[in-house]
Amino acid sequence: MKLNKLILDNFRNYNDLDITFDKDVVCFTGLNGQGKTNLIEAISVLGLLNSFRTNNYDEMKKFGEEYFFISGEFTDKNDNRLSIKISYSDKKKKVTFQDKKILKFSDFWGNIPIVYLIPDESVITTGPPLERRKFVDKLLSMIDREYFSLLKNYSKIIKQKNKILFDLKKENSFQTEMIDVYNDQIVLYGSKLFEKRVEFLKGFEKFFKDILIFISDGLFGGSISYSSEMDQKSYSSDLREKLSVNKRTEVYRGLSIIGPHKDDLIFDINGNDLRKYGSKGQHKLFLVALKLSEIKYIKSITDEYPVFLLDDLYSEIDEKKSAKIAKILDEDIQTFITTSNSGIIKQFDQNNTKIFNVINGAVNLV
Amino acid sequence: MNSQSEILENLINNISKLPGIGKKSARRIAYHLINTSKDNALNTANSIIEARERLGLCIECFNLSEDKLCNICSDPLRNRDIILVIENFHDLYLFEKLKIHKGLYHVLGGLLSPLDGIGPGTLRLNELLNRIRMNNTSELIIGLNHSVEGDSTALYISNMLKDISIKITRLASGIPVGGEIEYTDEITLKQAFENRK
Repeated sequence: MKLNKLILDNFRNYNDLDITFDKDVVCFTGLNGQGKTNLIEAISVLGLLNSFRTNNYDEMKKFGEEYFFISGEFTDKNDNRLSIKISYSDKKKKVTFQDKKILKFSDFWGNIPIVYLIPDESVITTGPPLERRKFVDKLLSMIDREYFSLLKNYSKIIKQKNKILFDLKKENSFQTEMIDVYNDQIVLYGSKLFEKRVEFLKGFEKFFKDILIFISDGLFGGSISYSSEMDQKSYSSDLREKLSVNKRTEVYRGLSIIGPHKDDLIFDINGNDLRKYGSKGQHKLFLVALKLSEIKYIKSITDEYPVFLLDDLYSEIDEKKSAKIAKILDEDIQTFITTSNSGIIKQFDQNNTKIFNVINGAVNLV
Repeated sequence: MNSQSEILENLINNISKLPGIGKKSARRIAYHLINTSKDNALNTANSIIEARERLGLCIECFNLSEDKLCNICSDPLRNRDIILVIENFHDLYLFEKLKIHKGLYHVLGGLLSPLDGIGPGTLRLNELLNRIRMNNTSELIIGLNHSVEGDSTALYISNMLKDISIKITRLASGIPVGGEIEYTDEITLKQAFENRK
């Protein structure tokens, strides 16, 4: 997937921008606060319909303006043109894809695959289990409609059950009829989520291992394993058992604490738990490898490379490693990079690279 | 605002409280009611009054009814061994139009959704249990949505009846008529395959 044309109207600090891209590596350089990240944010919104910075479309509107509009023209691997337009005014979003209005956002999801790597995402390796589940859930939702739908229903079931548990705790009572109803459904949807996550990991880890070894020059070997309170050989029956045994605890806590919404991924580097023992550099490299594997995985499933957005990453990665990253990305993957250090771009094939300088909402070819 | 008649404003306000009617449509409807013949307008008003005063709920199935028992429950030709559980009057209307169900109905009055404050006590579940016990119903058809709320309610009903000998069935889910396999979502397709006949 390639982005050929981007139009921004009242988006963040851009008045009206109309820019075309004809290379696979696009670099936005410039000082901080000039609007580099706003550009890749706009691209991510085109593909995912939400921003990695905020859930609030109002924040994306240029200060003092009534509306914003963004549009993108992409081409897929078969040279089909894909056009997406998003406008926002009066608190209303309007999305059109191929000139047809999108009524349900989930129907659009996955049409324009995007993978981004932004500094905030360091929480995937350093943060709580929730961040790692989000990583898997987001990726799978983009490429697997059934997963998306399972997850949506599962989350609703957990919310409904939490309300029951909260009320029971408040009333200090222990009536289990309603808990049973939701537990049955947690077993049904939860085991399917588990199966799909494990199946995903099997395919994903292959890419990941190779990539981590490659970009670390053979220094680091890594692995990813699924971690759950349930016995993974008999997940479904164990989940049913644990839900049943823990009813009182759940009522006491007023919260649903058993199920795949508590599962985690364990990241290992050279045989050690990355979260406990990893150095800052190892965390960073692990994260980069995760994201690069995401790209390869999406390609292996959908036969289409996603557009890759890299926000300010290279500042902390040495030249040798960034040359290796560039080598992986040189494979027909369109990559947008923001950096205040344009020297980094040397690592890429110069014939396939374009550098833009960003100054206060104006974008000019260097 | 003051240039407007207060009576008109009042009418618009009340019409806009109807479901699916915004302020603009309410205004259009109000103008229409005023412009149309007086008989027309008064007929509409009288129908509302009549419906509210003479329609109540059937004491058996909670369908809308002018009498204690609705037309369906008092029909001697209906099969009293089978009850079709549905969410609301509108679903009952849809099934009746099809003329495929020869048994009785039970209108639950909603679906379980604790987040919206709808628990078992809010729905007519006890009434259903009593009916089944009293009448020795042999089959219960669950005609509820295939959503989280519909599934929860169906499960609750099954659990509620687990000590009673009764056949419980659920409407099948699958590919809609005229629907193409290519455009059917994966979950529906799977269910359609698993529930094939």
